Amino acid sequence: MCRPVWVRRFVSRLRHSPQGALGVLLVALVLTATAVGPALAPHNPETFHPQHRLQGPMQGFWLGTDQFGRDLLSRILWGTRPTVLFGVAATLLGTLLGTVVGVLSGYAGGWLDDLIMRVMDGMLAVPGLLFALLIITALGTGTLSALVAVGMAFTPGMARVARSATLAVRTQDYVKAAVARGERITYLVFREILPNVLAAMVVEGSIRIAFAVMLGASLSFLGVGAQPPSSDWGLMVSEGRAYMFRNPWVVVWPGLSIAVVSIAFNLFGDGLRDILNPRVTG
Amino acid sequence: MSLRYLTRRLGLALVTLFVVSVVVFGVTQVLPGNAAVMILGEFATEEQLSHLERQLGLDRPTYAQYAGWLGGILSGQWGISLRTGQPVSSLVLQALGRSLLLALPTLLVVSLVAIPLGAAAALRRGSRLDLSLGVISYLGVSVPEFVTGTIFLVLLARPELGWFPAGGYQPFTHDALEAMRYLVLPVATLAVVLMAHISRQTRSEMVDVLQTEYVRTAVIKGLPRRVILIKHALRNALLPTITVIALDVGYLIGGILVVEEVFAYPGLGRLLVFAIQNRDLPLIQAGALLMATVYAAANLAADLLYAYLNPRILYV
Amino acid sequence: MRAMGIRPTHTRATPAASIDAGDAQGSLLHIRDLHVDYITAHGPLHAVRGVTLHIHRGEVVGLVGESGSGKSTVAYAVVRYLSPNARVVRGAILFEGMDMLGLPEADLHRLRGRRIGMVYQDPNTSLNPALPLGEQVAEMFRYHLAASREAAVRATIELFERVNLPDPVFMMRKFPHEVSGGEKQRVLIAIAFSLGPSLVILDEPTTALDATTAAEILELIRELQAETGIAALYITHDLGIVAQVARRLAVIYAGEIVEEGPADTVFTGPRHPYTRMLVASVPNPYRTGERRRLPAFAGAPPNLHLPPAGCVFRFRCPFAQEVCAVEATALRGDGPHRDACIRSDKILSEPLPQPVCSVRAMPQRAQEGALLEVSDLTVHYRRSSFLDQVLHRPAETVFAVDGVTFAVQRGETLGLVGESGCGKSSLARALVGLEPFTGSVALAGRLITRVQEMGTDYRQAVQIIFQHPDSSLNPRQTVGAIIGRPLRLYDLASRASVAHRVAEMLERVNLPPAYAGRYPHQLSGGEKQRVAIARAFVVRPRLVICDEITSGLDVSVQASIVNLLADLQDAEGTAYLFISHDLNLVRHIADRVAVMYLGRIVELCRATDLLQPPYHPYTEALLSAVPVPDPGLRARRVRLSGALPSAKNPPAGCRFHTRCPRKLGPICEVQVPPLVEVRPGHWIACHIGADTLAQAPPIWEPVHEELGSG
Repeated sequence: MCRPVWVRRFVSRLRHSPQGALGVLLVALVLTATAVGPALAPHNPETFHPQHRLQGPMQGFWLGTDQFGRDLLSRILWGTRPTVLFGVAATLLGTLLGTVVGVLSGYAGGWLDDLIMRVMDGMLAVPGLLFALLIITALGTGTLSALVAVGMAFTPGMARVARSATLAVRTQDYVKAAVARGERITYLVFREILPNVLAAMVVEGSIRIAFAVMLGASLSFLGVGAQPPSSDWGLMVSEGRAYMFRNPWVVVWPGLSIAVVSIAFNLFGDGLRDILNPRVTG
Repeated sequence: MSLRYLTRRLGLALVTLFVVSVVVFGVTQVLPGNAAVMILGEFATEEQLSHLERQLGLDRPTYAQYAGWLGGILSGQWGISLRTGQPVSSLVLQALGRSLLLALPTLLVVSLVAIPLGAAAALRRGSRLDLSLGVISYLGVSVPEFVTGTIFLVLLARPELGWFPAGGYQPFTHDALEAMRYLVLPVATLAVVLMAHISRQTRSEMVDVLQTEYVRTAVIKGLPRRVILIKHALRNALLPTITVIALDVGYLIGGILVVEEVFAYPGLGRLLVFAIQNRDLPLIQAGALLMATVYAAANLAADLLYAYLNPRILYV
Repeated sequence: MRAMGIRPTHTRATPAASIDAGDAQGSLLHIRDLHVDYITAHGPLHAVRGVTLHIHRGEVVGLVGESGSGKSTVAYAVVRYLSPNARVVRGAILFEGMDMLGLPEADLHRLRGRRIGMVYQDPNTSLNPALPLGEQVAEMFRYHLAASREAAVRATIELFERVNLPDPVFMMRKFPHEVSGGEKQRVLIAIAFSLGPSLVILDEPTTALDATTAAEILELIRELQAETGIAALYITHDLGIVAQVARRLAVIYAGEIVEEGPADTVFTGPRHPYTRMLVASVPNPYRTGERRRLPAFAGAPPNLHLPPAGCVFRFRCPFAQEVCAVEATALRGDGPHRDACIRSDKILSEPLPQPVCSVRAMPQRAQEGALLEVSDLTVHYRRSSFLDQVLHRPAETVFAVDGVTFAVQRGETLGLVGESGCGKSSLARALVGLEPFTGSVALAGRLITRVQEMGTDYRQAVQIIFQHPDSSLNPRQTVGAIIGRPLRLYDLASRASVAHRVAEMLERVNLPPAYAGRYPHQLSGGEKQRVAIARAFVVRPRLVICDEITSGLDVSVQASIVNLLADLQDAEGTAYLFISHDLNLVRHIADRVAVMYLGRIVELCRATDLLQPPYHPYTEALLSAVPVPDPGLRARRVRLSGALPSAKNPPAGCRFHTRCPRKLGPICEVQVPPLVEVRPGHWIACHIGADTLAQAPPIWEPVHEELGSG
């Protein structure tokens, strides 16, 4: 019986948050590009065009070509999937795992809570990129490993957010009223606590998507994420670096694309937080 | 400051490092299943595998391996790099020194610039300064370091211009001025992200503090503006900023990994990436553990500084 | 919506006109026709509309209003510390002849703190947590008077002594979080009075404090004002307080002054209908005997984005007629007592509408025994850290409730009174199974000794309503779902009939049935509390525990909630355990009263017994701390020494002995006084004999002195 109350508020508050509106617009653009981009690509991203190597923007190759003569526009469009979907999927994974761990820890309290949080703190003591690299060491390179790595790197942070949200909710009087009524634990967790924790997780998750995108691109740049011939944007920068003085576009377009996607999700996440956070409206 | 608080914080830091060591060890040596296969590859022969296993002590039970490994770490014996054959400790420590040459100037520059900027933006909310700072720092947080670094290279390190080298390192012993040229772009790249974070944080904290009721009291007391700003507002706003700086050391470490790659700078980050690409287990372990220790030390220092400045915590 | 105040606040360019003639002549503070708007996302909010007020030198003027009336806006406008989105659209504020609104920033600094002081509502957040208390006072002398460090310190210590802070030298170095709320407020008062200003503005200085502490602070303020002759603007919602402190008062409603005049005439003969209802809805100790319902207001304050034409009170006024919608209102009348009602002369003789069922019959003592019998109930909290467990140190135990025994009869209202830390909330939580306890609870004879033994029957029969309406409703559930859930849980209604039962219940708590589809954030505080009441009553409980349910509400809303509870009790025969710190209110609506102190019951009696001695010494102090809304009465000062002991380490023997003004001697320190029935139905736990206690002088006595001399 919990309807998404934020749907109603969302539309009215969007008007008051210009950055949120911009974020929604940009994210919509990005997601559209991810969905239909590859269909719009004029060339096959893997085809070499030896006569037109390292060209700037020109007829037929609107963004230029790379060191193998591959069309940059097509590569960028095809690169939306490994980059954007990666970010979304990794964040979802981290959010899911973090929510389960955090809610469990926050609800249980006592020594279990202490133990879980110590372990989370230990994981957080290793900076994100480093942690992801370590996991990749164990799993091997590749997009999938990178996805799991980033997801796992996000988990302790999300767990902490979920835990503090759970603790905040647990002390509310409506939870006490439910306990006083004699409700069972399943009802308490799923009907009273979780819906209120979810809002915090949604906000936190959407803010992190940008970070996931950047992390994934960094991993690909370092050669442990996406592998050739993928047109992941981080990989494009890494491959094109040697030629960047001859044709800077080889690194500029993918770099710019990463920035745009990241800004889009940041704006979106911030806007969402403004909308859902009651403090801002006070 | 009470000794009790100090020992508690120290204890917590040690526990955390212990967990980190377990994580590092587990992820690199236990998880892959057979580390020897991982190192030698799938086509190694049985003989090569078992030889390596015995050499690395991989045939012992897990906890014994861990104990032996931990003992070695703590006594300074960090093993031999599988790839280069050199002792890990000297490799790692020298690389750490070079990384600090990047990290410390970055932190210095960032603190000196970002904090006043953030405070000024908070005081002039809605002004051009505030809005432009907001936009720039937004961009700073949204662009990964390798992109920033690469853009810097493309713009400022063109061989024809000869302004800055396109990467590498030169020891300070030869020519200090020349050596500094190699540091400018990497430090600038690292500083961009950090300045964005810290100025946003300072601004946000300052805005919060300026809206508190005790600042209201100070204003209505008729105190001079300077006193209100510095004695009452800034001091309370800086406390959480200290914590953020410590957190940013974590970002810095991640940034160093990438930035040293971009600029081919022979620091700990580049060494670690090299180690990971080549599955050089002892090097990976020592490097990761060292970085985590630096991070933990930074957090501990921040905690202690915070406690020193915030009287409420001292009595906990 | 408080401001940062660092940027130059919104000012007018033109200087003020000359001062008005009339009784505003020569006044210290003259607020003339002040209009203040707040610019919001929904358009301008006209918060203050045409307020005119003056204060002479040495005079104490009270400004009385409920939340949202604009009283704080007026106060902050005087010191020019309004939110950034506030605009003074019209009017002038003249202080000592100077135009406050046109004053340049530099001069404003010199006025603030030096000629105008201010005391705030919440002492816990109004002091800088990072600076020692002494520093926060000494800086007044250092920066305004250029005093040397030593001189400033000496002056501060003197000041601390003057405001009765214990051990002033030691107090100088303490930080805010180390001292109590009362002590912090004394420091703030010291700051306000430190440089001998001409005017001190007090914005609800006692609202956030306990009753006994509040009484002490009020006393301090009165002493300081009488001694120094400083003028004061005292802002409050509490009629009782303003009656004790102000010589003149102004009543503000929805941004307009509706009545002003000398305190005695306004109280004995209020003219504006709002004032009349306000005065009538505050329980007066002398009128407790009849135990009437409180006269309650219909409706809600108007939306100030679109203030109504004509009289702003007309939608809630029982005497409103067509002419009220047309004519503009302004303060009218000869002499000092004026009001803004155009019909006030005609309606003066008309009585206020009384709620139905004025007199409640006292419920009979049932033959079958009590509904709820609580026997030796104890709730204690153990806090042991990991370190304690490792070192096998005994855990810190807080005895929140320590062996409490009482009974609640069917259909009666038992009031439970005590200040913060007395354990009343812990008791309430234990009775509904939220806290583990020892001892026993018997519901209609069925004995329960542990929380696990509380079955569905018990949980359905005993319901609880919490203090904060905001946190007692799940923000993600509709009102209908919230009220309907208990029906489904206890299987009292089929799925099909739930909606019908919910609609029925909503009507019974005077909410439109359409509210079932709304979410909590769309409701006001009073409405949320009604939903909580509906949720409790929908399962037809036999006992409802009300844990401070009126504490966060305005007086007008409080009255309607209290009346609703009485209606439901008449209809269902439900018993109440009504917990509150407001002794005045409890005495008015309860049949019997229990007084708690540090986990124990010290007195248990009928409500009418509280009108005259014998009292337990703590009850005596509580009664004397209640501000009486009658300037003709003054309560005898019963001062408690020391501070509330920590519940972790309660005093041995009688727990009250460390502060008791009537302490007998060593016996109080050693032996726990048992609850003894000193009169039929009246129990007191004190070593002093009942006859001695009965000889105490009455608490309230008429007074003839002038208030606020100057």
